[in-house]
Amino acid sequence: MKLLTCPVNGTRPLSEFVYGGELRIPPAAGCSDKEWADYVHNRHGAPGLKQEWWYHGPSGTWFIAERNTLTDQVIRTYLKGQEGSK
Amino acid sequence: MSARLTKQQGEWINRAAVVKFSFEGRGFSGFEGDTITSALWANGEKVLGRSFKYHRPRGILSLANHDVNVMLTDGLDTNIRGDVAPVSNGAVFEAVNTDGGVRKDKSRIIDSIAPLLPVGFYYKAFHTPKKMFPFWENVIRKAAGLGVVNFNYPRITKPKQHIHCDVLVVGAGASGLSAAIEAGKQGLRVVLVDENAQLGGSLGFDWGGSQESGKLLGELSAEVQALPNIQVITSAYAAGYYPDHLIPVVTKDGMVKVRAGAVVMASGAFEQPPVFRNNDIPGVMLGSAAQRLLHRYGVKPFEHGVVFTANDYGYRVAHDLLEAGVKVAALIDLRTEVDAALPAGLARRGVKTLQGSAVYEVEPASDKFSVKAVVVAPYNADSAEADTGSKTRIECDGVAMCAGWAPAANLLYQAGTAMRYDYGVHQFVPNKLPAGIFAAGRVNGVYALADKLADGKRAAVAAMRHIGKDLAEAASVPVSASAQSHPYPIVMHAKGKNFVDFDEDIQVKDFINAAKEGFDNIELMKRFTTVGMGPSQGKHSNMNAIRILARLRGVPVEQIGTTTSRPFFHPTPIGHLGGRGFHPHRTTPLHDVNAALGAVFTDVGPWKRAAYYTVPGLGVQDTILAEVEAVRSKAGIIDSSSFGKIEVHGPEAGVFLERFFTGLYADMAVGESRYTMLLDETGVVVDDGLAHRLEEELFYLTSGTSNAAAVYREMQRWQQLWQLDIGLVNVTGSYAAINIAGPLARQVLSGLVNFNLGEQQPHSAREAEIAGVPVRLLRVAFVSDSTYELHVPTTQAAFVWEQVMRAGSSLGLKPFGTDAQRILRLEMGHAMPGIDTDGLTNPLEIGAQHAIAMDKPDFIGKRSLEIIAKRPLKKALVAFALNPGYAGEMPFECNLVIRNGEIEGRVTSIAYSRTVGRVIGFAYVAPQHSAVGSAFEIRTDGGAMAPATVVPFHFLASQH
Amino acid sequence: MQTEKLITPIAHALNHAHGEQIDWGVIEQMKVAAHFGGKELEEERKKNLGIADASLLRKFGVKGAQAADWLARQGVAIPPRANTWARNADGSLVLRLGNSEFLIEDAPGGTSCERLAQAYAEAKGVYPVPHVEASFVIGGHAVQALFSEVCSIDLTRASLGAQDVVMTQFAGVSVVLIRQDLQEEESLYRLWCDSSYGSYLWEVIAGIAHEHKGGPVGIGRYFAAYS
Repeated sequence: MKLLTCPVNGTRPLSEFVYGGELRIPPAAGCSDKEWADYVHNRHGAPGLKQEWWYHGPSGTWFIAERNTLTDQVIRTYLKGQEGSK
Repeated sequence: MSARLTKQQGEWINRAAVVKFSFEGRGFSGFEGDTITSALWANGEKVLGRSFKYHRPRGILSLANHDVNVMLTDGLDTNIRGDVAPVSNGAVFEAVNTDGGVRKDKSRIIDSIAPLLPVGFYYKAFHTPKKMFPFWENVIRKAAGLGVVNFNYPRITKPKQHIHCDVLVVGAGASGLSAAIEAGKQGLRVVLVDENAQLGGSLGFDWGGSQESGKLLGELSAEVQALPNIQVITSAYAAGYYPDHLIPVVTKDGMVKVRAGAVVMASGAFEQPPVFRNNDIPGVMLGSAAQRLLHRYGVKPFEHGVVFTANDYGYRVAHDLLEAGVKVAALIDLRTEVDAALPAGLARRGVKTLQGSAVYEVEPASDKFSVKAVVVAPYNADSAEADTGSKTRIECDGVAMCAGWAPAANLLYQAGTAMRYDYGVHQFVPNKLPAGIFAAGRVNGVYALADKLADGKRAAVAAMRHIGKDLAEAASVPVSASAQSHPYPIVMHAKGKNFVDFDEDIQVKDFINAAKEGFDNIELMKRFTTVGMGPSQGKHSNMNAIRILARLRGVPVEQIGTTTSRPFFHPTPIGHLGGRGFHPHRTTPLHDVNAALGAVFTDVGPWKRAAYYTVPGLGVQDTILAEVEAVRSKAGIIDSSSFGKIEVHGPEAGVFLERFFTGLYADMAVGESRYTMLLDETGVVVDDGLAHRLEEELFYLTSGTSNAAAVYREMQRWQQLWQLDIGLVNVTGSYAAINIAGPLARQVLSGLVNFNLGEQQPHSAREAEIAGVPVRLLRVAFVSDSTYELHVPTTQAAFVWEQVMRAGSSLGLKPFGTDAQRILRLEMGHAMPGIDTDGLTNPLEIGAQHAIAMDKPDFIGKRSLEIIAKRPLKKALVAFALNPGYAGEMPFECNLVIRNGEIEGRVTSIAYSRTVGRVIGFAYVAPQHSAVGSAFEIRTDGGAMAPATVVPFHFLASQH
Repeated sequence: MQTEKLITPIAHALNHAHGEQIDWGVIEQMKVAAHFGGKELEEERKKNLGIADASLLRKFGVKGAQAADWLARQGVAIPPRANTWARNADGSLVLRLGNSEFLIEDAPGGTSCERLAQAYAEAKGVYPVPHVEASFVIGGHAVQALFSEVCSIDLTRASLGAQDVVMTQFAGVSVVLIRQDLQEEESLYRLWCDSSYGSYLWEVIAGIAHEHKGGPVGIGRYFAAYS
């Protein structure tokens, strides 16, 4: 089983985590209906470096993992808002 | 006649401990440490099993855990592998694949009609006429499969353990021992795994007539034992590779999941048989099998045999046979060019060598139980034909065969290793290894003993460097420059029975036929011929199959490629995979109280909830309706402890709720309760519940059971983005919830609470005390207009429940379960997210406009709702009732609403309500047909059309 | 029969523990299993692999940006880092769960939690967290064998520091775990889990403990104050 490193609790097997989808930035207020629909409905499936939400269940910690979805390598993990601190 | 030798150096058997057992009704004795096969062979028994397809007699092939024609049952377990399973006193063994025992197997007739049964015959032969197929299917199914499952198998827990180490070494042969010692000396945590009962790999049996290997093994074993940081696991196989170096190791009693910092694969190589007619007769075995018999168990493989080799290894085997006193009639070498020292060495011991020759065929005894002679003829390597014009016959009773090796690279493949075919050593070797994985020894193409030791050390150093040890890189060890395997050890024979795959009885001609039919890709050929699909999973057959296919297609072997071996690469009992079996579930603090009242429990998410309470003499349906009736006429009590409960504290709690849910909360008065609805960003309904303002800065949120954990998770995520000044606390497990519902509910509680219940308005919440226990008292209306919900600290729930039951005993208070609750909420007209909505339902479709404050600055899903609101509705949820007195087939959830032959919608909830006197439910219909009074039809499972009418949601209120 | 006001959250597991000789008792006002058989049996179990129900120990919790400051003002020892624990002068435990959440558990007979609950008033940035977890004491020779079966992370002494707080899963259930060295050379482990999973987890651990010639023992075997 794959390992993932929670920035607060350390390295754990994937079974302790819940995947929360890709981190996506909503379009600015006042966007068109089309832009909004693109944001909520369309996903970019092409493999590459993605930022993803992950949740460590036993501690209730949400964090971001930068993962290469082509190689399944996790480059780094950090708490949202603290990406610069590492 | 006993084939047991005198005591051998390093043997695995304990001659002081005699073991008695029976095989097919006859008694035998062996020694402690014997396998079933070695003990039987020592007793002169050579027919140990029957082959899978043709039911040919079979004996020893590998003695290395791949002898799948010798599988037995002891009455409890089935498919016990005789070549590796130990004998035990009193054990009673039978072969699995016979009809009447190994000697008199009635299915042996199949062997004589084999020409009628080519590979793939059953795909073609039995499909016409069609009506006969069920008959043939039955026959084929009976013939297929090995062993019989014992349905009275006792539950034996096979635990799974997790262990952690710095370096895992797979394989305890020369290179594996060397690697483990090297890493062990650095003080690292090392795990060393080997499938054999004892350490050593080929050091323990491949002696080539000398005692040196045995001595070295003793020294290496002592070194391992002297290092307590090396954990040795024997009689266990590393069964698969999973990401980040997780390797399940299967032992007899369970499974050990090893998480390693780095892995050294020193898994060795599987010896491969040459292919010639009757290469399966008992007495014909791999050279390494003969050596194992000699040195592990002190048993002669045969009395006077021949060695048929296609590499130098066969000469080592011949010397070992001679040392043990076995007569070697001749060594037949497929090759024309051989290092002259090899035949000279044998000549000195009186053994003649026939170079450039092949065993054309084995001449079996008439019962095919043993070898009578071999027919030898000059071999043409280009055509793979023997020159039968000049054949000679050599009488013998056994053949040791050596043609080369296939790397035991299964785990390397699984880990993503790129392999290449090396034309020096003539085998596949690792080309590019994944990070943290290192190969050593034969699997790496390294064969000479000194090279294997050096390669193990080199791999260990590389593994330690990978996990951060500051060590200098060790010199690389080259792949063996001389061929250890023959590029094409195949001898054609017009009459066939030259087996490539012993598991599935696949002959050379089966490959030729498969290629002719167009199955000339390795994956297609595998599926058509079933090569490699038997219990040994191609360990002795895949390499030859690849070589044959390469020649058929006229391409080099590396262009054929190999098939993927999935984890677990070795057959593993289901019980091992199941393990102890953990089934986490949540119980409420009232679980035993409910059980004592006759509750029958049901799973709701992770929770065990009371579905209904049995009443002696009353059927389930009537029991549930009686529970409903108690709530409608008097009072009912239900354990709702599984409900989601979340506290939101802090000055910005109201702001948080308004962003998270669809409604308005900041203006709520303390003590007020309000409906909450959660959407996702696409505007789809996710969940609903209630928000109770208990204090200025404390909202208490309650919701249904199944979504609670996921909703709390979402709250945490949004809070991380919003960073409001709040404290979120999931108190689901901290509070039990008890609902008292019905016209007498207030009366039940009035004597228990410390205030005038009449003053508590609907949709309100307050803190109170019951018999000295602090409770949160919520006035809700989910199952009845008159419902009080008590939220009680978990550890005091049983106490409070008892006080309420006592107070209600004279008023007819009855417990009710989730089944009655379903009907009650339906009568109240409450649609439930997840039941009456699906992953596409927006709030406008369920008529929830009242719960949505579109004039708020923002909430999750608002922007999508703005878009949805501009479009025409596609469907609408309605409440309906079947016509009074409807006596047809009862419709169910998910039955379709049909209008003019077209699907218009579906039923989401439906039940018979005795209170209303009709079948009632919710369904989706077209918006233009959603007005009260509209009629529609529901198609039942049986195809009947049940007429229904749209009614107001609150069925009870609409009755009056 | 009168139902006690406070009942251990693992009552369901205890009520269905076939083959156990349970002496029920009331400790810290909570109905608990005081003993499982005689002293000799319990000492033998404790030596091999013992588990005791410590749910009766009173707990107090707060979270929030100001929680550490507030607790410090109340004289509580603040563990220096996220996921570490400390011990107060009166023996009560202070667990720092993540960065800004704290669980305080009384030592046997202690009154810290009661004092803190009384002192607590909704201060800005300090929010109360009710704690009614099921809580166990686990110890004995075979404790690592147990851990290796129910937990997939490394909890050997080398990996679990003396002051570490670990939030992980045991047999599929979220737990908080610390190592508490009560006596010299004897590691005890303390574990907390959601009360609704308590009975399940108790049954799993007690079942494995039996296979190692251990099993449930009264809390008094670990805490002399309750013996």
